[in-house]
Amino acid sequence: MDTYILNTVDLSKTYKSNELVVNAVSKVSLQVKPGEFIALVGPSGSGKTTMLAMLATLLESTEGYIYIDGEPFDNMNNKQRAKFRREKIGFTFQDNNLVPYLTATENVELMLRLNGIYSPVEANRAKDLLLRLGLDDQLNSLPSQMSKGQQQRVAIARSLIHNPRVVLADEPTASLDTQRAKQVVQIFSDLIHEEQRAGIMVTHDLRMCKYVDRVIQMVDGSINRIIADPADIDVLAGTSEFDKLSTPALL
Amino acid sequence: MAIYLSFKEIWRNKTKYFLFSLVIALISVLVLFTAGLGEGLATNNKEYLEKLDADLLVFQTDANFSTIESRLDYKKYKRTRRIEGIADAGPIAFSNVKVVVNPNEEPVDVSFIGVEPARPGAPKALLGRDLQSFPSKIALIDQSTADLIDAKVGDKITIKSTQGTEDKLFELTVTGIADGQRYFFRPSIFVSLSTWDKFRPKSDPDNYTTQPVLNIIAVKAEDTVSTFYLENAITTIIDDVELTDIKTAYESAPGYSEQQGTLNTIKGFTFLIGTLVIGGFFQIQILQKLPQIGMLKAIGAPNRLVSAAAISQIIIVSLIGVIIGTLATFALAVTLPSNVPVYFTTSSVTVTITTLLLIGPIGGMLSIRMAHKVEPLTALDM
Repeated sequence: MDTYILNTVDLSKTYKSNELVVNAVSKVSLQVKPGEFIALVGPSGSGKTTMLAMLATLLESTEGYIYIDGEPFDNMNNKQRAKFRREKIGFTFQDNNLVPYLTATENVELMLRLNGIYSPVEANRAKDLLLRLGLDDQLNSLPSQMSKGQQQRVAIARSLIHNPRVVLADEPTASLDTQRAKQVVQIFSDLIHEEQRAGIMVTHDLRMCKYVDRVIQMVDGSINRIIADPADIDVLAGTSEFDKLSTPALL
Repeated sequence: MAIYLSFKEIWRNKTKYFLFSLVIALISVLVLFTAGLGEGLATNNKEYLEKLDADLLVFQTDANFSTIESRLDYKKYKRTRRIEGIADAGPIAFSNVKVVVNPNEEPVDVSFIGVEPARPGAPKALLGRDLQSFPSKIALIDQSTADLIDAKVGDKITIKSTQGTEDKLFELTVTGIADGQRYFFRPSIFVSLSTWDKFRPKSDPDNYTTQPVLNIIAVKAEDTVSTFYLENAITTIIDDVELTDIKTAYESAPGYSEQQGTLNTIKGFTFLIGTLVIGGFFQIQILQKLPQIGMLKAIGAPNRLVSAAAISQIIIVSLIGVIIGTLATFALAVTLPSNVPVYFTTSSVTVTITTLLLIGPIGGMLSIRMAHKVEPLTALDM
């Protein structure tokens, strides 16, 4: 168990409204090793985002366990959850990723400040990371002065700067054109592999799966299929599940 | 960290926050100006009474503690002075006359106050000498009279008093100048009681007595005597009188409480409007920032940081607004004509500014609560 950074055991989330019971996530067991980047795919309502929210401690599970580095996290209050998120997790969202009144550098430094580890040395590291992401000319730009792709790259830098164990991304390429989307996921993948993080990306876009190590397809809250080699992604083609993915094109 | 975030947000949105600070500045000007006007009007009304060196004032019964309505026999003053426990007492008689500055100019209205020199009621001179009983044609004027008619110690001033059906002119020599002693919206001239009775406006100029009718008596108690005891002693010995303290006396002046009540209501409403405006502005701000706050919480910003950032932003913007407003109010006050009674005292300005600084966080309380309750998943639409 300890060889995994992230390990979930029978993780479930059930919503109850009057007599209606919805199993958003049902008994999902998932393991992610250091330096492993996986994609969660599936149709809308399949439970991908609910799964991601539980992994990020933004949502409490109804049943099951989540272990990070072998330690379970449950029974945490809001304050402990916030601390856990800022220390152990890096997060990239679909939209509204950046603080609009902070520059690219300040947005990345935000995680250092939140964790109380901001220093000139760390600030240089933030700058180096942004340079590596090709943002040389945008270090002092506000989000409104950057393209969507540049903003997403800043968000990636922010999600990694504090050395989190787990990096989560919710549809990070949803608002990008194909070229920029591929570029962003490629960088994301490289950094996760190099720095030995556990990375999970929720995506609708199967074209992005060639940059991950495993693809997990969720349907109706459960893992429907695990594709160990993303090169085999086209096995999904022709299945009824694939039709539900609303993917514009195959790789 | 909270200050860092709020400062960055304000700095990067300077125009928006500066404009809102100007709104707070305008509210501050209105509140400070109203407070200054209230203080000015009150001072013009009560300055002399408020500065009286006395513990109690004796009024005629049923005069509603009004200095104008009260009439006291001079003998009552003499008997009052002899009562045990009284350290000193002084008669005070009020009237109005005009000072003729220049024959071609409109005369200046002043309060003409008769007192007994060196007794409670007679102000101390800051320049020249205190008022004396002799010679009779001398006067102590207050600073506002000196400023208004440009008089100095040793100058002769001419007062115009209507006696019978004639306007009579009397000349007085200024022997001393006291600090501001305005009474009933007029600057004041002090003379001895006998001079006052001789020169004051009256319907029957031939009816001159050596014992004029007073309006009130200022009483100073001995250190060991309580005012409660003294009040009982005086009302037991002297018929048809009642006593009160100085504050009640000036608050009983005709129109005083109505005037102050009106100004306090305006001030209260302005504070309320300020609270609602600031509250509304910051609530809209928070509503616009819900996804951003949700994102901050999702990446691990604690609730107290989000709330502290919101409150420090309100405090910074309010502080800038109040500073601009205070400076603008003082600048405005300097340019106002001298007949607009706007006075600023340290205490009233401090209380007003403190209240103005408090209404920001009070007004923004709802928005802070809103920021506190933001659910990251809902705000990020996940």
